[in-house]
Amino acid sequence: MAGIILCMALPLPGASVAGEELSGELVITADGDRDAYDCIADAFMEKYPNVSVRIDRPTQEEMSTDEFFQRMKLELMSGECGDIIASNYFGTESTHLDGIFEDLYPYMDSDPEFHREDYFSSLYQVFETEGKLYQVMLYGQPVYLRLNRELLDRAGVEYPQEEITFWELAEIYQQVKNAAGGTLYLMSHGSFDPLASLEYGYYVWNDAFATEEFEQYLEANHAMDYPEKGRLRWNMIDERIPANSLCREVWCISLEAMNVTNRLFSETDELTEAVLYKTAHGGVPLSSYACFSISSFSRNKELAWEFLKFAMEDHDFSFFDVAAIPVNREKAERVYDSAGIDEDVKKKLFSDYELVNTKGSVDGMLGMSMEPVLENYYLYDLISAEECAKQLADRTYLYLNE
Amino acid sequence: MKKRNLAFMAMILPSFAGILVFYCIPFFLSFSYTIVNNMAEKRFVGLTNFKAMLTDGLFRQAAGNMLRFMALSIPLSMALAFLIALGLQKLERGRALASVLLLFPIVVPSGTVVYFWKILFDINGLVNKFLSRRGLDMKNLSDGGYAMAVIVLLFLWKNVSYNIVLFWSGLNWIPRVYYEQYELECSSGFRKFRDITWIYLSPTTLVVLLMSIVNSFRVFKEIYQLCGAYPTPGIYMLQHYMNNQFSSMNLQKLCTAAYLIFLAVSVLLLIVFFLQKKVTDTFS
Repeated sequence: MAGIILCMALPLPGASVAGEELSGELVITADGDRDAYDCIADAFMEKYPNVSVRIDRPTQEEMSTDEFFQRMKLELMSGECGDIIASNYFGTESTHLDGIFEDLYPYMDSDPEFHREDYFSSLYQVFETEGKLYQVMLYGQPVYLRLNRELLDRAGVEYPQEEITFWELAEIYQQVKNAAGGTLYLMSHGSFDPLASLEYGYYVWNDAFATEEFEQYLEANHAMDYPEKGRLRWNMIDERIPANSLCREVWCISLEAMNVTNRLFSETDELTEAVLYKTAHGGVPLSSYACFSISSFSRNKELAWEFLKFAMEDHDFSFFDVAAIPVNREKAERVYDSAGIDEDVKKKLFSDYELVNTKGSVDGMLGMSMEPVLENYYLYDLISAEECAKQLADRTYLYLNE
Repeated sequence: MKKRNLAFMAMILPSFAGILVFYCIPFFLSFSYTIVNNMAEKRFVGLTNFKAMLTDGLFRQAAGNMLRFMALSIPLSMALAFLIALGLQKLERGRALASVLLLFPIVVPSGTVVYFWKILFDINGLVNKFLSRRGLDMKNLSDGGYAMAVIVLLFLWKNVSYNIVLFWSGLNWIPRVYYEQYELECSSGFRKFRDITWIYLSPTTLVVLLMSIVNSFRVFKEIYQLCGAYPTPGIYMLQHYMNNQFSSMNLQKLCTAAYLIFLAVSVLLLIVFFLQKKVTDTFS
C-alpha cells in the first residue's frame, strides 16, 4: 500500500552546524512501508552527507510480516540486528527487554537539544514502563467515532458531544436498537469485538480481568451485535454506511481526504461529528502509531539517537505525518498548517492527543491464547461472563509472571 | 589396523561434526548465557539467574505440573503397553491385523491427532455434545483437571504403541525353554510371570521407562496446538515456560531453565541406569 509521499526539504528550525560532523553507518530493521522510511533516511543523509542509512526490510514476496518478525527476534537475540528497530509489535512493557532495547531517557536527558516539553505527553504516558522508555513513536492518533444520524434521530437520542465512553456507547446502542428493531450492528465491519483491541491492554497490565468491572464490560459488549467474525478492514474514509450500522470509527486521516479532516468535527448529512472515544475504564487509547527503538547491540547508538530525533522533530514530512499526528509539537503545528487544516480542528486534535494514555493492545501470543476464550463467550455462548473473565485472568497470570 | 581405524574415523566424522556443531558447542555456549545479566551488557552475575529461577513461582508451578503429568502418564502407558504386548503374544489369530491397528498412532501426524482431539474434547466437541444431551455439565479445556486428563489420554494414545513394540520384542527374546520347564513343574501363571517374564523383561522395562520419560517432554507440541502458549495454569508445562521465554527474547531465563531441566533429567536417568544395573546384577 503505497501512499502519496511528500518529502520537503524545509528550512530546519534549530539546525546545528555541528550536524555536519555526524558520520557513520546505520541499519534500520523495519517492517512497515519501505517508501516512508526511505523518505526519512534520504532526508537524514541529505542533512548529514557523511552518514549512510540502509533500510533492512524484505518485500512481502520475499518474506511475510510474521516471518520477518520472527527473523527480527532471532537477530535481536543474537545481536545481529540493525541499529534501529521498528518496534511496534514488541510488548515493551516487559522489563526483560532490558539489554535488547536501549532506555532512551538517558539519551534525552543528556542531549541539550532535546526538551521533553516539546513533545506530546502521550509519548511518555503510553510508552514508559517502570520508569524507562524503550521506544519512541513518530506519530499517533486518538480514536474517534462518528455515529449514524438517521438511527439516532429515529430513536430520539441526543448526539454525543466532544467525547463518548464505552458505557455511553452501549447505552445509545440499546436505545437505538429498541427504536430501530431488528439487527443493529455496532459497526459495519470487523470481528466480534472490534473495540477490544483498545480495551484489553489495561486489564492485562493491571491484572484486572477477574473483576466485576470487566465482567460488566463483557456483558455490555455481548449485548451488542456484530457482523459475523471477519477481519477488520483498515479503510480510508468511506462515506458509505450500511443502514443498520450504528457507528464507524475513524482510524486514519488520509492525505487524499484532507477535506474530510477539516470536516471531522462537523456533522454531515449521515454522520455526527467525530467524538473522542474513551474505553470502559476511562482510558484514552492510542491508535495508528509507528515506533522505533535503539538496539542495545548497536555500535552507533549516538548516531541512532540522532536519527530518531531527526525523524521525530526535523524531517518534514511523510505520508504518515499527515495520516496521524507527529509526536513533536512544533512539527505537528508545521505539518498541519502546511496541509491547510483549520485552526480549530487542529487545536481539538492536539488537545485530544495530549489526553492519550493507553495503547490498549496486548502481546500477540497472549492475544492468540485469549481468542478461543472470547469466541466461546461471544460467538458460541458456551461460557458465562464470569467464566470468560476467569479464563482470561488465568492466562494473564501466566503471562505476567513469566 | 591403523588404516582401518582411520577409515572408521573418517566415516563417523560427519556425524560427529554435526553433533559437535549443533549440540555440544551450543550446549556449552548456552551456559555462558546463564551467568550474565543480559545479552548486550553481559555482566557476570554468577549463579544469580539459577537462584532466581529456583525461587520463581511460575517455574516451580510448571515443574510441578510436569511431574504430575509424568507420574500419571508414564506408569499408565507402561502398564497398558505391557498388558497389550502380553495379549498380543498370546493371540493366535489376527495378530498381524492387531499389530497394524495398534501401531497406527505412531504414523499419524501430530497435527491430525490434535485436530481429532479438538473434535472430541473441545468445548464444542463431541464429548460435550454427549454430556449436554444427557443433562450433564459440560467440560472445558480451561478446567485444569479435565485438561490434564485429556493431555494424559493424548500421551497414552501416542506413546503406548511405541512401548508395545519395545515390550513385544523384549517378550519375544525370552527363551521359550524356561516357560516349558515351568509348565512341566506345573507352576502357576503368576510364578511364571514373577520368576521368568518380570526378570528377563527388566532391562526392556527400564528402556521403556527411559523412553517414556523422554517422550513425556515431547507432549508439549500437542498441548501447544490444543491450548496455545498460555493454557490453563493446570497444564502449564516447563516447555511452555521455555517457549514463551524464547518468544519474549529472554535468553537468560530460557537457558537457565534448560540447564535446570537437564540436571533434573540427568539425575532421573542416572537413577534409572543404577536400577537397571542393580537388577541385572541381582539376577545374573
